[in-house]
Amino acid sequence: MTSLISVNNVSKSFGRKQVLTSVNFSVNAGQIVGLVGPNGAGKTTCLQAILGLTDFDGDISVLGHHPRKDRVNMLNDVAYIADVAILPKWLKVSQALSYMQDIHKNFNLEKAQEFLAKTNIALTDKVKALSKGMVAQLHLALILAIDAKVLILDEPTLGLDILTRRQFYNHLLEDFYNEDKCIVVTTHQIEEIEHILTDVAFIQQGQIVLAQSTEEIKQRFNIVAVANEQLPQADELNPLFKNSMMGLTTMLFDNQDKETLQSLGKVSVPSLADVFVGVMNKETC
Amino acid sequence: MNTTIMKASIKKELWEFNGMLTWVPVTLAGVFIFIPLLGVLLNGVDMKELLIGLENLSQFQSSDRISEVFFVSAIALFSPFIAIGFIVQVYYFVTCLFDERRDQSVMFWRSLPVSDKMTIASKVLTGAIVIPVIFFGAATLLMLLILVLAVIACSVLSIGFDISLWGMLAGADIISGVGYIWLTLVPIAIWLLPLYSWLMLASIYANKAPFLWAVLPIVALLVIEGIVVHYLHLSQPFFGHFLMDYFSMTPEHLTDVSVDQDRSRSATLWMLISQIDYRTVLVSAALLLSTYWVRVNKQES
Repeated sequence: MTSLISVNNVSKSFGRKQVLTSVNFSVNAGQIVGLVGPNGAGKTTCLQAILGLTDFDGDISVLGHHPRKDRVNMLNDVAYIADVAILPKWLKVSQALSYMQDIHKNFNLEKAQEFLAKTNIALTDKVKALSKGMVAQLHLALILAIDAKVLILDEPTLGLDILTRRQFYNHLLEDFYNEDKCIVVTTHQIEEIEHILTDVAFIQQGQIVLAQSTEEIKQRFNIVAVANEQLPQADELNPLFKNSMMGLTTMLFDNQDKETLQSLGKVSVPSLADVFVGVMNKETC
Repeated sequence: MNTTIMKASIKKELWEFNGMLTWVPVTLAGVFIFIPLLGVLLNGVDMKELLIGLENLSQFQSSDRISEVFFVSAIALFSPFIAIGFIVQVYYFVTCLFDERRDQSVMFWRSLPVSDKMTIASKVLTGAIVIPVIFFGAATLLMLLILVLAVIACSVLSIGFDISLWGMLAGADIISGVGYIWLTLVPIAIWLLPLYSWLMLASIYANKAPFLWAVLPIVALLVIEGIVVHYLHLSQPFFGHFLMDYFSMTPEHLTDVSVDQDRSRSATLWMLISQIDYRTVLVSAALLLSTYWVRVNKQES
């Protein structure tokens, strides 16, 4: 597989505060990677380093470009959606299309217009007259028409209702994604995009603590509903996380033998959110 | 591609400040048109006296000072446009890099394949050249309107009242007079480039109140320098003297310039050109490079 993004030993600090520490990961064509972490974990800084929006120590290559030294050429094939609110309020839809056509050599005006025709957004509308969901749709229309090879999404659906959030990701899969492209997405609503992710990277205090494909994660981790009498045996297996509720304790195990776990209680496949909570709380368990 | 991107970037700046760049010159032109009309409507016109006055005026139309009178009138018409245009320019430079950071749209603009050099250059060009062109253009259009009215008035006077003022219009040397005013546009832009660059630096550096960031450091520096000069009994403040010398436009600045003193039209132009020197280049370059550096390295999130 072709590696589209390669992040090697990247560190970043703001003054004395270390935000990223020796971050390593790569993203190949066809992958949709969720970069997941609590607030302040370094997700946005990591994405900004990939986009060349902040300086860093280490090495990053995006489509063979150095993000800082060759940012403009890189951005011809890389698209970025940060937050729904970042389109300027004074901008008209027609102006956005005209500007994109002038400055972006890969921009396909017809494609953007086709996408916008399916929405309630008129070409004469100003961004300030659009709802948050419509702004997200407009931004998506601009990005889809670029036909970028790499798409970076930083909390792209923040503040949107659930219908718009689902619509956003559906469009992403139907109108943008194919096996030659990759998407890196950060979100707090991991359960909503779990089904579209091929890989996840959990980031905590500036370090990648887990980076694997979702398939591998589902095989590696197990969640077990342990009866009270089995708790001592279960505790001996060092669960990552446990949660007691209504007389039943659920425990998350990493790389434990399935048969042993079945002897403790009902074993099920954890959601990515369960694994995330488990991995993030490992030290406090 | 670079020219296309530059054009698109300037167009984007004009879209952003569209309201201000349309309504301010239009309102100013409206004031020039409607205030005299209002005066006429409120006070009325004594046609008899007016005709006598015009007839007297027609006696002087062969004077070689007509073109000078026209030039002074043109300057009087252009001056408010240049002055208000300057205020708009200052506002533009103070806000052009601040507003996009305040509404976070800078993240969108910087996610597109437009270099930071191009962005800074397009903003400098918009503020220093394009905005003055809009205001000079508005003044020129107003002047054309006045000239059209003057032609109509001349026709009516010559046909209906046998008063000919055509010689006055012909001797006004209109094109070269307005041309000289337009020629000052680029020298003014270059002369004031250090100021514009400083305002851009304040605009990109300030997290709040960019106007205060533009003014307070200068005031603070002048006050501190004044105190130091006073207590150390130095001859004169360096920074204060530098600012005074660079931005003051006095006739003594003309002494170095070999121009025909009688040609008052070119005097302003030469005076402006004489103000441009190595300081213009050094200060502007340093401030623009600093603005570029902050643009590239400041974390926006």
